This record gives sequence, structure tokens and C-alpha cells, in this order.
Amino acid sequence: MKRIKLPSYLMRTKWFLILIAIIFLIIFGRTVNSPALTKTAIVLGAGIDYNEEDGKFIVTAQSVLMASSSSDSSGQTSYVTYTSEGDTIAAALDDISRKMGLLASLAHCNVLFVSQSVLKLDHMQLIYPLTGMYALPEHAILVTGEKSPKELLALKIGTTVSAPYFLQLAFSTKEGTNGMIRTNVKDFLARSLSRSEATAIPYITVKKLEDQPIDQTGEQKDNYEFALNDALVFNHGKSEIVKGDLAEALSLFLTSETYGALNYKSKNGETVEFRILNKDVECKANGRSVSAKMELTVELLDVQFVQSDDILTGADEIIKNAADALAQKLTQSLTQLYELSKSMQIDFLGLQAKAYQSVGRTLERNCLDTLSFTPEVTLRVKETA
Amino acid sequence: MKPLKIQHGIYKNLPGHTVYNSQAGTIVFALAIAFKLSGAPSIISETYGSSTLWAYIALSVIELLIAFAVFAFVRMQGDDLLRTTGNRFYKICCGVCSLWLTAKGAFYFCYCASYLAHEQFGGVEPSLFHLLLLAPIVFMGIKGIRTIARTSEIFVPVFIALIVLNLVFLETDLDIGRNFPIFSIEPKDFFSGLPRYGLWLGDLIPFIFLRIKNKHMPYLSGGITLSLGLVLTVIFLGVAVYGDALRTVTDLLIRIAGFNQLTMDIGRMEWTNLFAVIALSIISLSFIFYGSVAAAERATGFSLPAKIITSAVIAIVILSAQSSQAVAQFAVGVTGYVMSGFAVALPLLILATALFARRKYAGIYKNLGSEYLPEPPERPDAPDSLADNVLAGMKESAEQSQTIMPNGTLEPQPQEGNQ
Repeated sequence: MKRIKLPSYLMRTKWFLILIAIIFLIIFGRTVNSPALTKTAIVLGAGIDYNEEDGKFIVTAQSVLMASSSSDSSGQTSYVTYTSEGDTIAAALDDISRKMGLLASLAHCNVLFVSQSVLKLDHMQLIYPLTGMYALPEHAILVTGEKSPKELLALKIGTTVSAPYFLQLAFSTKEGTNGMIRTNVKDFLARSLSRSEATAIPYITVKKLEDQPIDQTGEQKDNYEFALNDALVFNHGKSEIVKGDLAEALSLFLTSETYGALNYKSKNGETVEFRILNKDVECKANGRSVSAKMELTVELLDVQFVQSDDILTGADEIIKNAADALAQKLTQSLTQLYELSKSMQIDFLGLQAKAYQSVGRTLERNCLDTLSFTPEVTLRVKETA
Repeated sequence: MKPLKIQHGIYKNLPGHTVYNSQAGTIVFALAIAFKLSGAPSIISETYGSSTLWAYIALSVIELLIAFAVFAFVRMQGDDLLRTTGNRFYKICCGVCSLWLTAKGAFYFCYCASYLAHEQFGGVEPSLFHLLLLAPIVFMGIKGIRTIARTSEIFVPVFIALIVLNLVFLETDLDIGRNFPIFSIEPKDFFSGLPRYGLWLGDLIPFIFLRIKNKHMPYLSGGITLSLGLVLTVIFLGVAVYGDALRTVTDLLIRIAGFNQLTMDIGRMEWTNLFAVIALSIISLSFIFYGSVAAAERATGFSLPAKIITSAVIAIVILSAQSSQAVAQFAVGVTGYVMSGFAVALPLLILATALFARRKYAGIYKNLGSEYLPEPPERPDAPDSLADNVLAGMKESAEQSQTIMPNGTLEPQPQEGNQ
């Protein structure tokens, strides 16, 4: 049997690689700051506010605590919300970690609440440390609202005690998204750093539940409902709230996947409800002329107040006419949005970015007034069983 | 002639400095992915914006020209010829190449260490991380090309599958129009700025010191095509996904895995590409290390000093530098133009020297590698033993003492014990 000398034995690749892996694990296992799950506060939603008077960031984090780390003796999972101030976002987050006695981790934070004052700051400096050092997922949704992030995070929803958890579900399930804009951290930065320098995010309004939920202990108080149909359009200096039909049209134009229902009501009161099955938006620029073709495939959901003895389907002329009228209405809404963007000088439709792709580097900045926009919406009613 | 089928276990019988084309193909892939798809898009995007893809295409054309020169040299066994004839100019070129590859290795190490330490291993003492990253690189570089090639051959197919699957499951808002206009800066500035990124050129130059043995399939050209295609596809998608925000993306390959549509169901998926980037960086850096050592060996005749010096240079640079990011940034300044010059000039000069030597020493060139050809049989007319497994010598001695049957076989002899 061949005798292997020790040095050549050790120099064999596989053993060396195994040795390196062991050393790597031992040393890094001791030096990398990777605390156990029970010592980590998994932040579900974070809020960032900025006090323009004293220049401090007010950061709020709502965390879910694992049963074993929770102070709750019953061993139930609990949600805790902490707020802290700091000169930077990192300082405030570190302070939150100290207050909690746990390390706040943004790695699973899917909702980021921001105030309007924060949106006036440098967007890259705002996001870069969060995605870089704090591992905030780039698919986390950005939202703002009529209340401060601290207040919004602390609100209870009837169905869950965690507002971020509710929003995470609302934005990720993609159902019932009428007028809801889904702008994640990546899209926010991509649009903000483009030639248009503007974007839109959901603007949340809250209303106290008229009928508070009741459990075995009695009525639960202070539950709210979130309205997610409005949008805040903004650039670095200005912002505007877009509501109603305009917000719905904006959502259809900006958000890649929009499902949910579209409603048409004629002057005579005839109401037709469609459900969006598919959407295709093609935005093109030819020089300074930007055109957008939006094709919506819908199915008939409901018809009310229409004078007809027949059971109506998508093939009926009445429904087709309603679809055409709705398409026209959406086209008008998009035109109104364009007029609004021109008057506010906030290019939230991304027209300058599109024109830049066609005109090239000679396109001057802030040239929204020199661009034309032609929207065209078509609705195709698909017959379903 | 029927091609020789390569059997398992034959790797150990390969002559030194020889790899199979399949191994070379996987090394090419590792070099392309580790260096060109991690932090480079962010650095190039800072200047080029929407033209990043087009800058990559221009750089890829230059890289293809370099690859053509390198593999033409390898195919004509230029290294064997120039070493056999003791070409002095080749030795000088190898000396310069060794220094250039040492510098490239140091810069690349800082580049890889900066984005890995900064983003993926935050909170770790940088020097500790650097030393631990350096250890496998130096080990594989010292062990030589066989270790690098085998490691690459085993791991790369797994990483190709991971990267491709992450692209297949990619789900996010993207606008392919963000890749336009082609010239986001003046064409003059576009082209004159390209050589600044010379750090990413000439990664294939260490192949000069290798012989490539071909298997049935064109793995090498396949590897080059796949690498180039995948690099350009990821850049195309990266610009479409991020637009001008690409400059904020520290590692494109890792970040793009975060948009895997399975993320919402099974959690964050960045770790899949993180594994790929770390392993491919180690393989690629050790290949550069090997190139530096092999070049020094051809220039001076010794490899040990080069092994020590190259390891020491990388360790000194990374430990003495204030920040690895600063070193990586230094490499894309004026230094980038110098690196580009060497990356383009070296393979062309070496190829020209080999072509000249081939004409001058045609006789020597004709007999190159003859020591690896199978020896001709000493007695070509000896009886064949393939059919009956009886050795020729035994048949001959039997012919002298025994009777040959009419069918050509030997008359059976009574065996001992059969009384």
C-alpha cells in the first residue's frame, strides 16, 4: 500500500478546502454579528419622518417578537412599536435597538412609511443606507399618508393589530387594487433619479371604524380602516395629492400589475362594473411627442339600473358601449393628469424620461412644457363563463 | 480517424499546464461573471448612465479581440515554441505580463473584497475578512491550474443554473427603453472614456501559458458565447430595472436575485447569487494569480519567488490601503488607461512574436509536442494479441516449438494433471 506523506496529504485540494471552510465558519461564526432569532426584532414596517425645524429624523419601527423573546407570558407573538430621534436614520434605528434590547433587522420589512417632509430630502441618500447597510428589501413598498408615519404605524386595523402587516398583504395579494399604486423602493429610486425626477406613491387616509370589532372581552376600541385609493405625486420640491378617478387612471398607467374592478356610471345612472383581467401599457416617444397606448382586457362583473330584459353578457352592445365610454373616460383622465403635471411642474407620468430616450442627451432638463402627450385607452370585454 | 474518448481518471495524466476545453470554458465563465457582473455595472453606470449596456458591448468587442489573439496563440502552441527557442522578447513580455497580472490581481482583490465586505459582511473586521478571502486564492494559485480548473469545472455548472433560474423567475417593473439613448454623453467622451475601465479587460491573458486539449464538443467557444451573452443580458436587464439608479447598486448580480418571484413565498433569494459571486471570485482571482506566477516562471525560470511576491503584494496592498474601495476606484482612474494599454498590447505583441518565430523556426515548430505523441511500435509486423489475448512474444516462441493449426491457432497442449 502506498504511504502518503503528511505534507502532500494536507496539500490535497479537497482537504484544504474543507479546512478553509471550517476555519471560515469558526472565525466568522464568532465575529459576524448574527444574533439568534430570539435576540432579533424583525421589523415589519418602518416609518421615517423629518423635523425640518431641528433637522432630526424621527424613525419608528414596528416589530414582531417571537413568542420566546416576548414578555408575554402566554407565549403569544406580539407586535411592538418604538420611536426614536436621531441626526441620521441609522442613529435613530440604533437607538430603537437599544430601547428594545433587541437588534432591529429591516431584512423582512416590506413596508416603508415616509412623511412628505422626508420626500423633500435627497432620495438617494435616504434609501441607500437602508438597502445597503440595513438590508431593506428593494421590493418594500413606500407609502405616505395624512398622518405621520409614527401615528400610521401605531394604528390598529379591524382584522389585524399590525398596520404594516395589513399593508403588506394588501399590496402583495394584488386583489382589490382599485386605484392603488404599488411603488417599491427600487422603482421610487429609479424614477426619482431619471430625467423626470418624479414619482407617485400611495397616500393613505384613515377613518375610524364605525362599528368596532367585538371579541369575548367586549368591544375593541380605536380600530381604523385605511383608504389606499389616493396617490401622492411629487418631485424633490413639490407634491400634490391625486384622488378619485385620476388616481385610478394613474395607477393603471404606472403600476405594472393592476387587478381589481373598474366602474362605469352613465349620465342616466346605468352602472356597469368590470374586472381587470390583463393590462398592457405601451408608452413611446417620437421626439418630443409621447404617446401611451393602454389596452385593458376586462370581464363583466355586475350591471345595475340598465333597462334590459335579457341577461347581459360581455357580447351585448350595451356592455360594449359602456366599455368604450369607460375607455374614453380613462383617456380623458390621463389627459387631465398630463395637464396637472404640467401645471404643477411635477413629471409623475415620466414623460421627460421617455422623451429623453428618443431625443437623447440634447433634451434639456425641465422641458415638460415642450412635450406633447397623447393617451389612448381601449377596453376589450372578454366573455367569461 | 475515430476521436479518442476521454475516460474518467484521465485528468491526472494530463501534462503540466494543460486543461481541457470544457475546463477552460468554465474558467472563462467564472472570470466574466465574478468581475464584470458584480460591482462593475455600478462603477461604469456612474459615468455612462443609460449608455452602460453600449459601453459594455464596446468593451466586449475589445475583449473578444484579445480573446482571439490569446486563443490563436494557444492554438499554435506559441508558448511551447517561444520557450523552446528561448525567445528573449517573449521573456520580457512575460516579465511585464507578470507585473501587470500582479497589479490586476491586487486591484481585483480589493474590488471583490470591497463589495463583499461592505455589503454582505458588514460589521466584520475588514483585515480578517481579507485574509480569509486571500487564503483559498493563494492556495489554489500555488497548487496550479489543475486545481483551479477542476474546482471551476465542478462549481460553475451549478452557478450557471442558479443565475439562469434567478433570471427566469425575475419579476419586477422594467423599461427596456432605459437602455436609450445609446450616447448619453458625447460620442467622443463615450469612446475616450472606455479605456478607463481597462481593469476589466484582458482577463483571459493567463490562458497564454496553457495548452488546451479539446473534447468532442466546442466547450470553449460555448463558454465564451454563454459568458458574453449572460453578461450582456444581465446588464441589459439591470439598466431596464434600475435605470439611472443602477449606480446605487453595489452588486448587480446579487441584487437582481432579490426580485425572484419566489421571494414572497420562500423568503429572500439574494443568497443564491451571493454564493455564486463568492466562489466565482475565488476561482477567478486564483486564475489571475496563476497567470502571474506562470508568466514570472517564463521570464525568470523560477516560480517560487513569484508565488511569494504576488501573495505578499496583494496582502500588503489590502492591509495597508485605507479602504479597499479607494484602491478599486484608483484602478479606474488614469491607471485604467495603463491597464487597457497592457491588456490590448501584450497579447497582440506575443502573438506577433509567435508568428514570426513560427516562420523562422519552421523545423522546430513542426516537431513541437512530439514528446507527447505515442511511440511507434518497435515491431509493426508482430502478431496481434487483441483477438486472443495471447502476447506476441508467447506466440513467437510457440511457433518455434509448437504446431500451428490450419485456422491459425496453436495446437492445444495437454495440461498438467490431466492424466
